[in-house]
Amino acid sequence: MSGTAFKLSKIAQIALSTRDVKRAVAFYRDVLGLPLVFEVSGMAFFDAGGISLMIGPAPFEGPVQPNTFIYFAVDDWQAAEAALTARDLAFSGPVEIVQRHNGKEHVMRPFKDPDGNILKIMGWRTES
Amino acid sequence: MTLSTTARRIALALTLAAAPLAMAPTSVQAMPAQVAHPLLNGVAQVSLVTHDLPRAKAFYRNVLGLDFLFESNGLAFFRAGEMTVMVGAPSNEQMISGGSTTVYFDAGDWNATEATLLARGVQFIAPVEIVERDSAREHALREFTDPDGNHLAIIGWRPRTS
Repeated sequence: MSGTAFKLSKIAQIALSTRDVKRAVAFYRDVLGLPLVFEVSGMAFFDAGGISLMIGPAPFEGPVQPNTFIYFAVDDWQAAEAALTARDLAFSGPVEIVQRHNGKEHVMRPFKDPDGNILKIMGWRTES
Repeated sequence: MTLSTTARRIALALTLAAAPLAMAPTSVQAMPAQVAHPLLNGVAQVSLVTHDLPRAKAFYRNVLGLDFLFESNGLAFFRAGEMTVMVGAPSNEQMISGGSTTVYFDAGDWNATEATLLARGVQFIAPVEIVERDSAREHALREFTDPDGNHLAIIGWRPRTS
């Protein structure tokens, strides 16, 4: 039995649901700036730093039901926050400070995609 | 259901196999990745929710074999490649048991992975689906849930069975 050595490690893809693929594509490509790899059969696939982010029609009735947060890494926190705000993205909460270290703070801030899926940006900034 | 399961799988296979766009169906619309300086670098973390943290920890650590990093304030963190998976109590905006997100783990050695998960009591919620085949191998996907109902799947290549 290979059981004891067995491990899962890498996540290959994350799937999110939408009621409007066109609207979702506009959001993930134009607002978040993720490279769109391709669209097929009404689904859109984005490259999120080597992980595939799939946006497809919700396979059930009613609004999407967020059960997962996806945290995007940002290098330049101030630039990312400013750029998203300039693209009319409304953050759904204030900046949350995770930890402080050597004059820097590790921060994150939540927002939603047009379907209500919950996303966050996460990164380091100079201590405020 | 606006889309056949098969279509979803085919598209998934195309993505995960990193198939050249020239080989993709004609309906594929390739868009140039015009981003010189990406705003977002990639996914750093995925959070999943639980109503029973000890049970969830046992599942992710002992059944799936993810490396446990630490636990803090009722949240457990696991390493998943270069990402972390965070498991904790739901916020008031989160729902579980049939939510809208599926997390797909790379199975590596498909047959060993599937057999081990079965031996550990994982309840797969669907049969294996073949998303793509080449001359020797097939790209297989199988869905299951964690004890709270979060949707997970394994995906990877195995020798052709037919």
